[in-house]
Amino acid sequence: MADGNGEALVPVVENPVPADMARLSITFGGQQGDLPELVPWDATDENLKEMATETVRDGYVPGIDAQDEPDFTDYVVDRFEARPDVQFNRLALRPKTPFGA
Amino acid sequence: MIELAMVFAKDGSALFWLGPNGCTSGSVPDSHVLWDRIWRNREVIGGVAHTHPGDGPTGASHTDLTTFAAIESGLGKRLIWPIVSSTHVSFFQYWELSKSYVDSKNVDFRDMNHWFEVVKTLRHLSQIGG
Repeated sequence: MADGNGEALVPVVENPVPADMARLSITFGGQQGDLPELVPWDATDENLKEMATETVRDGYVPGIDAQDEPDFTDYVVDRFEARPDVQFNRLALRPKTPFGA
Repeated sequence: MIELAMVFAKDGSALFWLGPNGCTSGSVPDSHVLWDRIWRNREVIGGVAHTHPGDGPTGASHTDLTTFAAIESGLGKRLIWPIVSSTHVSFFQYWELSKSYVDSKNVDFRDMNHWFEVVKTLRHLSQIGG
């Protein structure tokens, strides 16, 4: 496709995730899913755990069955800033993995 | 001697090693790479072993126990958690009766021939790293 001047038209795709927001991925009970709504990129770990607890309990996260009492106490949040191949901020709530003292 | 971690399959074969970068004589750090490997291998994973410095039978630390529970919560399945010292291996598993992780003497490793080589290798690498 070209405009009247013969220039190729490049579709402008708006990044659906604003720079101050992020997608939150949750892993729990052998299942994984993304929260349908965006969350603030600067949300604290505790705030994100509270969101996860409420949404997983209510069965609101696609891919994760509703759970009676999901416990994210010993989970951590990985924060991945937008980059050329993944152009939006991502947050991942996952189990912690350290061993030792 | 440093601490190392190893993800192993149900047949005892090694799937992934973590260390020695970031590992010390007292700890294996939190690692999203380790979690990624555990998650990717969730259909075949048997457990995660790690080393403790020194000789003799060893207990699980509070950090160990809370990590065991967190990973099992994430996977939705129970695993075996060997802790390897220079001379002993303790096999921790969750027991419903006691609602806690105990050193299981009843784990059947007869079909886990690879496992014993893995323990030897784990000890060897932890010595080199230290």
